[in-house]
Parts: sequence; C-alpha cells; structure tokens
Amino acid sequence: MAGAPDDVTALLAEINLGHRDALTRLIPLVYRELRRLAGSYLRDERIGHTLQPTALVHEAFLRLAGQDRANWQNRAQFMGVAAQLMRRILVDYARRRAAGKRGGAAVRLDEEHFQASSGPQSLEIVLAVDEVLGMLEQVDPQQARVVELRYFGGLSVEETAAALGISPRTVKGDWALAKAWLRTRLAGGEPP
Amino acid sequence: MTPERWGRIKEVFGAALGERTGERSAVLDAMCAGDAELRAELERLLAETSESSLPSPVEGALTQAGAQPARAGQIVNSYLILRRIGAGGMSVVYKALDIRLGRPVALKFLPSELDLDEDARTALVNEAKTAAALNHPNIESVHGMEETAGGQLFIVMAYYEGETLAEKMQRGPLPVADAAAIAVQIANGLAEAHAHKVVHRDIKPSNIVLTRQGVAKIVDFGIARIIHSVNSTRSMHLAGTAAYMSPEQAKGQGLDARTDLWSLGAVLYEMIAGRPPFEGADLPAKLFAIVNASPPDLSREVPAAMQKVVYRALAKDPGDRYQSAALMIADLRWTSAQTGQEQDSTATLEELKKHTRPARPQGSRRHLGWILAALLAAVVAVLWWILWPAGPKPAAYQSYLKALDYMQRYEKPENLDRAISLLTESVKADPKFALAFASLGQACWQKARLTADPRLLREAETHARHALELNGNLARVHIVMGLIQRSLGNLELAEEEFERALKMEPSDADSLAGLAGVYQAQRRLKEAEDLYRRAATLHPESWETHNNLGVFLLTQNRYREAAQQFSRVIELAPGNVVAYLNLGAALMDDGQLDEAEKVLERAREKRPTSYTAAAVYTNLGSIYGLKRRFREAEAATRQALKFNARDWITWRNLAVIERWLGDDAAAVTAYKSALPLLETVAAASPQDPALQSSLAEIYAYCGERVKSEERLRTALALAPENHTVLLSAAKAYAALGDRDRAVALANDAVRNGLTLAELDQEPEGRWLGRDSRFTLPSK
Repeated sequence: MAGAPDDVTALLAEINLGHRDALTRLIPLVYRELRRLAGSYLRDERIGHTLQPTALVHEAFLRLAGQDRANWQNRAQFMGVAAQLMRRILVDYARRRAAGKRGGAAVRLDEEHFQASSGPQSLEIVLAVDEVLGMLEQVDPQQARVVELRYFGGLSVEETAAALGISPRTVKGDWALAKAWLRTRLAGGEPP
Repeated sequence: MTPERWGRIKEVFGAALGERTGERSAVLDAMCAGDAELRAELERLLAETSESSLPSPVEGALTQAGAQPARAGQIVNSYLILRRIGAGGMSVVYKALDIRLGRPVALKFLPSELDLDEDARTALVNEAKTAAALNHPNIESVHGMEETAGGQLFIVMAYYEGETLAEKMQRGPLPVADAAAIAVQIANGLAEAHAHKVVHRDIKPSNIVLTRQGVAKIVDFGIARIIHSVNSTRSMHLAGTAAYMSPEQAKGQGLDARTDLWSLGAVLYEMIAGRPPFEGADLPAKLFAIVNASPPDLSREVPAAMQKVVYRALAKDPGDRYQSAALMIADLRWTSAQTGQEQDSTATLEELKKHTRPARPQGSRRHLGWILAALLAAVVAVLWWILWPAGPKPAAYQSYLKALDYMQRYEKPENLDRAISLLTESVKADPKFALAFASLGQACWQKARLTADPRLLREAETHARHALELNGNLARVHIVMGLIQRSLGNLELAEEEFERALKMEPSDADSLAGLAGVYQAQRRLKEAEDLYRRAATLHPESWETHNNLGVFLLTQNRYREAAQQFSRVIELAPGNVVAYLNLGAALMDDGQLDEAEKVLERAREKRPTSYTAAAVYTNLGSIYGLKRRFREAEAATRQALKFNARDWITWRNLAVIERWLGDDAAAVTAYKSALPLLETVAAASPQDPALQSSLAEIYAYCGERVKSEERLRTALALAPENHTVLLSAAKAYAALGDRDRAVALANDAVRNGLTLAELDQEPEGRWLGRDSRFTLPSK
C-alpha cells in the first residue's frame, strides 16, 4: 500500500517546508489508516476498553511515520491533520447513526445493567461539537483548532499548545469557554 | 454570532473565570454594563463551567457499535431483553419478549455495520427477507429484521424451548434410528431452503435446535451467508465450525446446495459415531483432514445402508454426493425402513467410501456410475413410498408438525380444535403414524381438561391406546397415556406409563411432572415435591416446570412458596396470563387480597382468551366476595360465565354470592347449573373426596337428600380428617335441615384445622357462629 512510513515522513517534512500539496497527498493516507484503526476498534468486542482518540491518532502516527524517525514537530503537524480527519470520521459515523434513529430508545429497567445510554448521548455530543466548531471557524479560527485538537485529536492541553504554538493558558481558557458554550447548547438552550 | 461579539464573550468569560465564584458577579456588573443579553449569556456559560472533560467521541461510538448490543432488562424497540442465550463469532443472541404480541422471541444482533454503506445494508436486509420467507416446520421462523435506535440491525426469530443437537450429543452417540429421524428432518428443511435458492453454509450441531416435541429446527438460516459476505475477512471465526465445513468450503471455492448436504453428512456421522468425521489439533489440521482424509470407519454395528448414506454425503467431490436433499431423504427413509435387510440397490459400501477420499483424476466412468446410482436411488425412493410405509408419509408429517405448533398454544381452545382436525387428517393420511395418534390423544385430553368433557377423555384414551399398539418404544406415547390414565383416576396405570417414559428419557419434563402428579394424587407428597423440584432444576428456563411446582405448593397451602414460583413464571413468560392467574390465586389464598386483586386485574388487562378469561373473572369474583363486595363479585362471576359456562366452580361461586346477597332462588338456580357439570367431573374422579363432598353439598342445596347422603358417606370415608371435606359435609347437613349433625361436623372441621378466615367466607358462618354448641376456631 501507498502509506509506507517513508512516504509519510517525507510528506511531513515537505509540509514543514511549506509545500501545501504535500498535505493533500498526506490526508488520504492518514484518513485511510485512521479509518481502518477506528473501524477495528469499533468492531472489537472488548468490553470495558477505555479508548481515547489519542490512542488512535498515536497508533496511526507510529504506523505511518515510524517511531524512530518521528520528531516532535512532525508529530505535532501530524496530530493536527489527524484531529481533522478524526473529526470527519466520527462526525460521519455519528450522522449515519443519527439518520438511522427510529423507534423507541433503550429504556432502563435495571439499574445494574444500565450503561448503554451513554452511547447515543456521546454521539449527540459529537454532532454538537461539530456544530460549535462550525460556528467557531467563522468567528475564531484559532479557538476552533484548539477544540478540534482537544476533542477529536484527544491531545492534552500541553500537546495542543505545542501543536498550535500558543500558551497552555490560552488553550485552557479557549477550551473552558468552548465546553461551557457546548453545555449550554446541549442543556436545551437556543442554538448557537 | 459575529467575531466581535464572540471576542467580547471570550474576554468577559476569561476575566470572570479568573475570579473566585463570589467575585464573578462584580466582574460581570462592570464588564456587561448596559448589555443585559451579554450578561445573561455569560451567566449561563459560567454556570456550565466544570473541570470534567467531555466523553470521548470514540468511546461513544464504541458503545454504539456495541460489543454489548443489549442487556437483560432493557427494552429494545418493542422487545424486553430477558437474557443472553448465545454468542457466535459474529453475533450475539438474546432471548427476549415481544411486548406487543406477548410471545418469546430470539433476537440476533448482527455485527456493527460501521463500514456498511447503504448498498450493503440493503443487501443485508434483502438477505434477511429471503430467510424470513422460508416457511417450513424444520426451519426456524424468522419474523423479520429491525434496527435499534442506535442503528444496530437485529433479526427477530422464533424462540424454541429445547436443546441444540450439540447439547444432546454431549450425552453420547444417538441410536441409528434417532439419528436418521433427525437427519431426515434437517434434510427436509434444507430441501425447502434449496428450493428457494438459499444455502445455509453453516450446518452444524449447534445450529440444530430440537424442540421439546422432538422437532428439529435449523437455525441461523441465511444469516451465516449474510455475515460471510459482510465480513469476509474475519476468517478466524470459522475455527469452531471447521469440523462441518465441506471440502470446497475449506478450499474457499464456490458453494452450492451440496455443501449443506456434506455438512449434514458430517453431523449425521457425529450423531452415530459420537465424534466428528474429521478432527485436527488446530484449524489448519482440521481443514487438511476435510480436504484430504477419509473419515474413520463407522462401527460394524451401524447398518450398511446407513453407512452408505453417510459416506455418500461425505464424498469429497460435490458431484459424487447426493445432488439434492430429497435424494438423501429418500435414502435415509429407506435406511430406517430396512430393518436388518441388507438389500443393496445402489453401490457397494466400499465404492461409496472411496468417494470420501480426495478425488483423483479419473475417466468419465465414475460419473456414469454416479448417474446410474442417482437413477437407482430415485427408483428406490419411489418404491419405498409404495412398499415400506414405515416412516410417516409427507402429508401426514406436515399436518402433524402444524398441529404440534397449535398444541403449544393450547390455552386458546380454537387452537386445540385446529390441532385435533390436523391430527385427524394426519392419521388418515398415514394410519400407522404412532406419534400422530399419541398427539391426537393428547389434544383430546387437553380439551377434555379445558371443557371438563369426559367423553373427550375416553376418546383420548382410544387414540393413545392405538398409538401404543403401533409403537410402544416412544416415550411420548407413554407420557400421553399416563396423562390420560391419571385424569381417568387410574393412578397405578398412569404411574407405570410415566415410569416407562422416564426409563426412555430420564430428564423429560413432561414425564417428571406426570409422575409427580400421580404421586400427588396418591398423597405421596414428599416424592411428588421432589419430582416437581427435579423438573424445575433440570429445566430452569421452562416456565411450565415452575408453574407445576407452584400449583403443587398451592395445593399444599404453601402460598408464599407458590407465589415465589409463579413470580418466576411471570419472569420467564411475562405474556402468559396463566402465570398472573396463578399468582393471584396464591396471593388470594395467602389472604393478600389487595395484592391478589391487583395481579388479577393485570391478568384481565392482558386480554386473556375465553377459558383463561373465565378463570380470571371467577377469581376476581372470589376476591370481591371475600372483600364483601358482593355486587361486584356477582358481576365478575356472571362475566366469567359468559366466557365459560361449563365450569361448576364458577356456578357454585355464583350460588354462594347469591346466598350472601340473600337471593336464595338465584342461588338454587346457580347450584342447579353447577350440578350436571360437577356430576360428570366427579364421575371421572370417583376417588377425589373434595369433589364428592362438593357434590353432596350441591345435592343438598337442590333438595336431593338421598344422593347427598350417599356422596357424603363416600367423601367422609375417603378423607375423614380433611377439614374442607368436613365443612362441606356440615354445610350439606345444614342445607338438609340436620343442624345437629352440621354442628358436629363443623366442630370436627375446626379440630382438623379449619381457620376462622375460611369459616368467615361461608354464609353458614353466620348461624354457626351464633350456635352455642359450636366452638369457633381460635384466631
């Protein structure tokens, strides 16, 4: 397959040198790999498995770029691309789920067995975050990137700060406001 | 939202967030002066700040994609999930209750379709439709395919009580005749599927369910294929199935109907030999054996004709196998028809066994041989129908299977009528079909119980006797005869029949319940209870075993324990009105009248069918009566009579209620309606003291002194120390005007355990309580 480590490392280097078209060649590779990973995770039957987007993004990075040649800057760059792609994959997925919604939702009868309802809720959140991101992209593109990296990329405050070249304090503030904004919308307020 | 506005929100938010909660209001006052809307927005936002992170988007998707599509107690669409009953490599199956229709179903959740696009989804749904269109007694009924709110697809199928062939085989190899009978049923199902161009591809013992009536059902039809096409990469899941995989399957070649016949051959081999024909330490070794090895020889004791069927089915080259399920059925039937005769019609054993070895390039002679063999097999099949009518004829068999379905839903009397007419057809089509005669006997017996019609009981006996004459080696036939004899009051005969059946099938729930019932009638209560409990332990998921135990406990006045069993029945069969009816009865007897009323009202809401409805209203009437709400009691009891006017108990209840209401004329009319009904019931069980004393009582109220006294002597001789019988006798003498005897008998009843509560239910309690010679029961 085309996604050999060398290609990806070279493409990342090119992106760093400012070659925009390198990005367009990189995206399909990363997208495919992430999708494959996400698919295998989502299909997996392991129960109680904690999974963060980071795990997927890191795994994709290691597979595509190769551990030894990966430098920090490449990694941050890659994370940025990966977070965008994760957003696409997950939003697509959530939309398809939402489109398939019909009939009664699962009703809880037994406290002990209750768990599944976190599912639809999480998917609603995915779509709501996407919507907030759409708004932020119009009014504050940097904040939009923060949210994308934190939520869809699963990056920590420090990683996000490093990837965007801003202070962790700014990341924290941007992220706190975005979360509060999202929560007021999810709590039934008017749409943003 | 404009960038400026957002910038402002962000600025104020950042500033306020830096302050402690108490200080924030001042910041907002200062920064939002004159902009109430901004202030309101920020107050909302600040109220929502929290350190907690959002749930991971992947986590949410994972839960949805769901390793655990459902959990017990959850309602998915209109199904209440009861428990997980199995998990294949690619799907999870749950037992669930269809809440709308009140029937148990099996729900099979397909793997997450994360990567399915609309086309693939449509293809999948179409496949399920094809499977659902297969309508055959030996194929599990697929009701349809649905989708959860989360977009997960699942298949809704009929749920069968029984065990899989895999479970049955764990207890050891099967007698050749049984193996052949099961194989014929599987082949029948396959013939139907193949006629619709559906190939199962995954015939194996765990995909064959044997219902309690002994009907083999092929499960997972079409689904195996759907999953293979969706998820062709997950080949490791084939490991469990490998032993029954055809050589062409093992080689990944194209498949047709003949692959199923190979797998059936492998299953048949295992039923007879007790081990699969091809074994290996791991998957590659198994696959190698399937493609390259010959199966180990079957024991010499296996009739040659049967060995031939097995080896032909297991031929490596599909061209050497049976070309259709029908041909295999014909040979299987011929095999079972042949008792020890070594008539060779097709090819020699060695010749057939040869084909189980891998094919080597050969000339066309082999194919010619095959065509000849196929022709001969067809001729034999035709001859068999004419000359060896030992197996059931197809038409007879079809109506027999349909009738069994109706009999399972015997609570609707019209279903029993349908079953009786189908079985009558069946025995007409095949007058040597023992099982059909037995089932006809059973259906008549069930109807006799519902309608209390003794003529039906004698008809049932005739059919069962005929079945025994045709074939005395079937447990089912003995069970039916046992049930009938028990109802006729011939307890020793019944006991013998059940014991014979248990020797053939030691854990059969019906035999256990039957024998327990005999012990109960013989007052061997400890033994009876042990058997009821054994049945419930051996078949914990069968509501009937718990219901039987509950009814037994109820008759032993162990109301609480009985109520526990009935609660379990409701858990197992929530749509079953009988469970509510019985729980209501247990609560009623336990004196929990309010609870009982609630439960019975639930039963009434479930829109019971006529006979059950009659029982529900009768019991409601009793409760209202016990609560002294006699007008309501009268209405409910009369309602019960509208559903079923052939139950003497309901008439008797009505009479008692009318006496409480002071309408003695109406009471006598009701007693007169009860009388002929009770006479027939009591005539069928002349040894039952409670029936005899009730009859005496009613004769007395109708003014028939001689008949009443005759019955009283019988009843008191049978049960001189039963307080219910003694009280009945007291009431009878009172009605006949003999108060002295009445008081003496009532005192006897008290000495033998009559309670104040029981006495309080009787109109007679009023004057008895005032009679100085009578000692009231202590509280």
